[in-house]
Amino acid sequence: MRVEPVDSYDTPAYGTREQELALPETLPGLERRAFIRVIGTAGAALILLDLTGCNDSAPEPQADGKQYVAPIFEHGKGSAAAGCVVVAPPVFTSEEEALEIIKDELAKAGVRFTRTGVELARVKIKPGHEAWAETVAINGQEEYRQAITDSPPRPLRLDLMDPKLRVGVLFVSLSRFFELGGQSSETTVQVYPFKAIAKRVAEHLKGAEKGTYFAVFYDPADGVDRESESALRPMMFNSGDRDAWIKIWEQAKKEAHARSAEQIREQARDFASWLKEQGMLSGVPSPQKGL
Amino acid sequence: MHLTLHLTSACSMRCGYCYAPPNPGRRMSEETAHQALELGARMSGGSCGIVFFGGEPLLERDLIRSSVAFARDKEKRGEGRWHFKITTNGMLLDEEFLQFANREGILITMSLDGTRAAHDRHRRLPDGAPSHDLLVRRLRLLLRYKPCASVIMVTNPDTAGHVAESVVFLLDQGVRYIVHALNYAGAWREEDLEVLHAEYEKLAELYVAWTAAGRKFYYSPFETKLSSHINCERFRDERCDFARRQLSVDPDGHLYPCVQFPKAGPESRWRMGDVSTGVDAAAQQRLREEWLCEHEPCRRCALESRCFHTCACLNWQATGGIATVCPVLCRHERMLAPIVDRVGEELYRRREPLFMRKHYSTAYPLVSLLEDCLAGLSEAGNREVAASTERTRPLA
Repeated sequence: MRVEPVDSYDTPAYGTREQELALPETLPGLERRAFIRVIGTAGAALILLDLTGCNDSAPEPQADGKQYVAPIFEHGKGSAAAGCVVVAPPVFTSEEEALEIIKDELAKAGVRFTRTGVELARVKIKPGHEAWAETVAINGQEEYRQAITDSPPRPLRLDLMDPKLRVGVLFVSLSRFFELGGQSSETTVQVYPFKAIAKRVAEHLKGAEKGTYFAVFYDPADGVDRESESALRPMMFNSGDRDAWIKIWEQAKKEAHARSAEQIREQARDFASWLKEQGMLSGVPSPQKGL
Repeated sequence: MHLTLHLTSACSMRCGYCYAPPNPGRRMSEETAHQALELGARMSGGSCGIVFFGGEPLLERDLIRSSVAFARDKEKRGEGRWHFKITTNGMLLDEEFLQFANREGILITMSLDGTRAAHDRHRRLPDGAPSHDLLVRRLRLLLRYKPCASVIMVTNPDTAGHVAESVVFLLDQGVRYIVHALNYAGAWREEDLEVLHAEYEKLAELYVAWTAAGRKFYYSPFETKLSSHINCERFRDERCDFARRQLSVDPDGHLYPCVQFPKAGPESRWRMGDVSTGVDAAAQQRLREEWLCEHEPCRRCALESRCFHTCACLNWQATGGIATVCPVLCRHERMLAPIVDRVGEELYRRREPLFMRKHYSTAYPLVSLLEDCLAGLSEAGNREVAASTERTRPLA
């Protein structure tokens, strides 16, 4: 007998606890019913005890017919290209930074994201294939096509989750572009249609079970505007002005980055307003009220 | 943080597969036990778990009493908190001790290997006589006082074919918590594991049937494997934390990284301090580095995060190296995971209420305890459990 590593093993088709807590269904109800049955048996008057506060779970799901997936809040063009001949590359916002902005903005509305990385077992997205050049170079175009075909859909992972209010969000970033179904442009220039990917992810989320409110945000990927870039280009190719060009370029990137950050903040603000319209945040104390 | 106190190296039984054969000469003194309690409280920030272990700890019941009294006295003065557990072969359990255990909130885990055929194959009295009948009587007594007591059931290669009937037997007795372990140091062959595989398949059917019937029970191989998927990272965190989370204290007060190592003796490289001077940090660091540095073949295994290959005790017992993974364990884990995942998938697909509550609800332990307390785990309740087993027995 030998120690033999298992090369691959299918993810079991039963949920993780994180997934169950993200998708409210019967768990709070089951516990409540079990508890009430016990209390009834004992003839005790403890029925007022609200288990909801004990189990990190959420209010009961609302009735169907409601809208659970927010529309894409369009702030920033959310499309960019990077690579070989792109002379005005976009400025990407890191996932960490974007999530901090989203957390910060939604905290003002009383949404508290205490969970990360919650997977939705029932919402699966077929990932794209990032390594176009490498795969084609080594195995050929046919193998590359086959790799895309063979790539199985994977459970969608939320970035942030408020398990009490049942609010989940996801940010379409450069680092998750292929995982969320973005495709290789199959050239030396890669196009990143973040907003389009966000819309597609939101469509998938409509297949999730009701009761959790979702929003998909995207990286605006603002960049140095083309006019400025055109004006700067002569400097770039003039070695005497190179240092000056770098300074101006860095400044332009900072400004683009700040614009993107503000656009992400606006997406989050819109989502908070949308949640209020759905009646989700009524009765949620704002942080200013002492929570 | 837990400390396992090996109160004595003597034992009232002579089990064939015991990893620490009895040695009547070594007993822990009261002073050493008290020092261990104080050390445990210091190391764990005030609240420490103490496991009375042996040999057979009930041979030293006076020491158990004095240790608990010592702890309670210190608790009254706000000098720490302790909770206690005993792992016993059950022979010396009696009403007087069980009353004491209930008063003091001491948990008891008893060893019993299942049916007579499985148990008596290895678990013998000092004169070689079988022990099953005697211990089943002790088990019934234990369950009368402690309905939720757990039972450790060990399976050897030659008893693999008795696993399903042994689980059913224990549940028939009213046991609800079965911790089932293999003797990994045994001479397991491929054909023995095939037999075990068939037994797990029977239990998989029973597990589904019992859960669907709303019957509460805990069967460790299945529960832990389900948990390894359902609780992901938490499961990983709760695996062996060698030389840190649960240290052992031998009868002379020397500290060791886990329960199997005191038998190596204080001159061995496994010693890591003693109760008077505390943990030898350098030794602890050395042992942890040794433990953490290997497991190489497992790093690329798809089941790595769901497997118990990091258990240093088990590896040491079976291979002689704490980080040299036991091949039998590897084979066993590869066999068990698909069986248990099928069970999980079936119960999840059906959204069986007990399965969903037991494995997904954070409130389940509390609500279940309330249910049990209020419903009362009487003998009538146990009979009901036994009757339920009868109904599902044809599957086995």
